[in-house]
Amino acid sequence: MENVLEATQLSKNYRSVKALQNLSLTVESGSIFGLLGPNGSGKTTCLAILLGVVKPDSGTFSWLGQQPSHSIRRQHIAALLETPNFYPYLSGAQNLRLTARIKQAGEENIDTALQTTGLFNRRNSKFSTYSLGMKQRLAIAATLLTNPDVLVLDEPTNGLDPQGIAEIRELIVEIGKKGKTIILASHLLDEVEKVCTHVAVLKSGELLASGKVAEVTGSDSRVEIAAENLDELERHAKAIIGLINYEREKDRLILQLPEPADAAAINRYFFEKGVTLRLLTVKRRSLESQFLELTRKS
Amino acid sequence: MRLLKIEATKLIPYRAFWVFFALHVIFLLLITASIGKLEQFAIPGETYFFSFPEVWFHLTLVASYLHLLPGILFIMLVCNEFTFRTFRQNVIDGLGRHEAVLAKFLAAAGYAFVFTLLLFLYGFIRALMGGHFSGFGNAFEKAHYLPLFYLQMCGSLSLAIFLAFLIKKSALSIIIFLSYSLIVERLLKWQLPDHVEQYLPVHVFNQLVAPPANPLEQMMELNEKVMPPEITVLLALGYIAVFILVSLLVVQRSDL
Repeated sequence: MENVLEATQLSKNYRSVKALQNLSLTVESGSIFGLLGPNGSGKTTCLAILLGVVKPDSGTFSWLGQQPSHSIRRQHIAALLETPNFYPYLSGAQNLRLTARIKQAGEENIDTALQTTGLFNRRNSKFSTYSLGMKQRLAIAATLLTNPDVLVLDEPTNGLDPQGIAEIRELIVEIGKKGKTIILASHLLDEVEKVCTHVAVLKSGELLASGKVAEVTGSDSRVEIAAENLDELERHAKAIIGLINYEREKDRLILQLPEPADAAAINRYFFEKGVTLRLLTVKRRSLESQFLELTRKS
Repeated sequence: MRLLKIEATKLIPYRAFWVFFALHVIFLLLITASIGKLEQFAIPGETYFFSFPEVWFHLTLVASYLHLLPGILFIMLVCNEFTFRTFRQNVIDGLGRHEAVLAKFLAAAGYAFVFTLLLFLYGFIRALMGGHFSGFGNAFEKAHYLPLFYLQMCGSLSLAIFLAFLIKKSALSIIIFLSYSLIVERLLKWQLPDHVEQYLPVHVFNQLVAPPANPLEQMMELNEKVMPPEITVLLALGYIAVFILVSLLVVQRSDL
């Protein structure tokens, strides 16, 4: 499959702060690529470099196999970076008209974009009178004006209410289904897990892991069990074939087992040993625990 | 043309733009109106303010004292783009950095053009209606002051825009622009030898439409040789080119 983005060894320092260290990324065409990391991990710096507004200290990248240039950005990419930036004295519709002019796109999509993002009724109000959520929606509307091959979204659900968050996520998945490539930066694991096909995890400007969401998530599951007698439970648990690891917490054991863990089989095993389980929950190991583990390690 | 359209989309709904433009025009009207009144006391035989062909020199000379006003406007326009972070957004949306810079200089050239055109119409109408009209024979003899005035205004505005791109903060840029134009260059002139001082930018721009030296200045600057107008025009064009190029370089290299 053709690669939409190839970045090699990108580095950027702000004085003594290492914002990005030798970051290499490849984004396949048609994927929804999550850039995941805590605040200040270099996500925005990375996107700002890829979008041509910040100069990297070293490293190169290419979009759609071509050297980055403003005409590639204009024709193939739509992006929302960090905060929504618009002219406060212009109305929502006027701001979008300006974006359309810059993108050399027609103005026929403006109304649809405003309707999709629920701003149509306020289209003639000045941007400065918008709430944070509305500003964010306008920024998303701006990315819908053209029919770009690549959509770059930096924290797109920032400042939205739960309903707005759900709507935007739905919109992203829908756009992704049309075969567009989406690069989504987020500090919300849940968001990346729900929306993305691929993920790269960043911390302090370094790439910790990258790949398909399922791969990074790992293939083992967590099973929580509890019984009256925890010591006895632990003794039997240790003997489970294939056990990767276990942890004892206050009132329960957390087992790490290969995927897929069969709850019935586990229950039967302990029952045969004469232990009655009071609790049995199987969890696929979430990206969250993986993420915390990854970021803690370094 | 595309860049001018983009700038127009930003400017036309901007109230501050119209306030500055209105002030610019109103000041011109007020000043020329009050000079027109003084005309009643003019000595017979002296040229009237609004009579052909002197009107072109008189008007452009008076108007040239008002350049600082649109200069401040354009500093605000450039710095706004940094404060609103819209330069960044424009570039993300696919405007080249060089286009973003050139658009501002083009907008300034457009503003200067419109103002010069208004000045021409105003002078033309006043001279026709002024009661001293005596045919079109030599009416446009001194009309070359209009393109000179246009160039002068472009020069002054490009200095303002250049400072704004360099400094990025509007208050500081305006202070530096005003104090350089009004004070600093004059101080420099006293320090520098004559053959150097005549090359300073504001001096060059002012020389395009220069007032006749008054007696005091004549005493102080007895030795000053006036540059031939062709050289002044070339120097002014050179300064404008330098301001544009350095602005391009600064924006090309910096993070937005």
